[in-house]
Amino acid sequence: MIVDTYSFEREKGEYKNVVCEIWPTPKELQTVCLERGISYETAAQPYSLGRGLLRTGIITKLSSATSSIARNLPQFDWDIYEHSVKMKHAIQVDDEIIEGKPFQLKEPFLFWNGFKKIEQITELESNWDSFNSPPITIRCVSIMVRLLLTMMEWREDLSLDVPAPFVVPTSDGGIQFEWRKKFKYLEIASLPSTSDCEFLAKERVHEGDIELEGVLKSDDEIKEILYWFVSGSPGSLKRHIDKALLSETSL
Amino acid sequence: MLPEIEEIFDEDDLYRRFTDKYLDDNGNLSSAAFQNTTGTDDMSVDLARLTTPERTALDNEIYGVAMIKAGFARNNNQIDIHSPSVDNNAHSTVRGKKTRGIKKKLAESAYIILRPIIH
Repeated sequence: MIVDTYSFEREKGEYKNVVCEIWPTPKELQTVCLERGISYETAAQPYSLGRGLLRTGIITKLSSATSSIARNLPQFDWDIYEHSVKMKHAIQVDDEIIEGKPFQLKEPFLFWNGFKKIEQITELESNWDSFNSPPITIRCVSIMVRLLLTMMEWREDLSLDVPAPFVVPTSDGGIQFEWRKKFKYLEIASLPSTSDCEFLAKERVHEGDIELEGVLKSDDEIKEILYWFVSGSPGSLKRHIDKALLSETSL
Repeated sequence: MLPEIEEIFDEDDLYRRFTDKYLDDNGNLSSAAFQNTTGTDDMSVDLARLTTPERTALDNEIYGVAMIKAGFARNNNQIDIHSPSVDNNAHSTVRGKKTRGIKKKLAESAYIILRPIIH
């Protein structure tokens, strides 16, 4: 699904304007590039999130007034906001300087707050919580950015209607996502010491609170616990607990 | 010279300093606010009767202060120890392994008595 398109006039030269298509995930970018026969490396412009991390993708091309032939632009950075997109810097194409104007998105950029929060916490310095905490590790940032992108794909591909998480830095240099509902709570955390994620799921049932915590070793396991949070019937966490107990017994 | 070590009773209140990063838009306090200092089983708190919320917040508006009951921590496999330092007579320690479930329970039981200014 294309999020939106962006265009602006050039003052002079052969080409009328620059058209940019903003795609929410690299996977979708890859697909559309293949369909159109565009080189993914040059046509897909990943937006860099701090330290060069991938946030989303943008296809840029020059569109001619007299021809429909598109030409790829060199890669350049964009700032993506909740409701708008703008070029980070002016760019030079051939001998002309192109400067983009902010473009309003028709719909808010999905999970923008989550990406923005991750971007902010990458800038935390040592002792950011006053208890000698280290800066957030690049590995955790990378894992959680990827998880946000993957959740966007699951919303699209699997209709897994996962809401935007509350993003929290942790004092060991990790990142935690949290979701709250009336009777459910879920947290998924990336720790500096491992590439697996840890989680805590809590549910309020008639008898009181039940909870399950452990390690998520694959996307499928993350998906399963998200399904529980999004659409699991009341008390369904018990089934996950029983399954976890069964798994421990069989080891 | 360090002050005398105080006994911490179940009814005692403990102040935990936290940053604005731990509060969501609805004012919920994250369980991450109750994590041990990296590489230890200790979480620093202040014994409330020996300090003020403002001092626990280091007189800095970017910090908030949450209050938990010493007895509640004990009931969750923690040990409460008064551990004064040269510059903080109220400094205390909630010692023990903090599973995700325990951190969450501490967060749910906490009462925010000083809210940080959100930046």
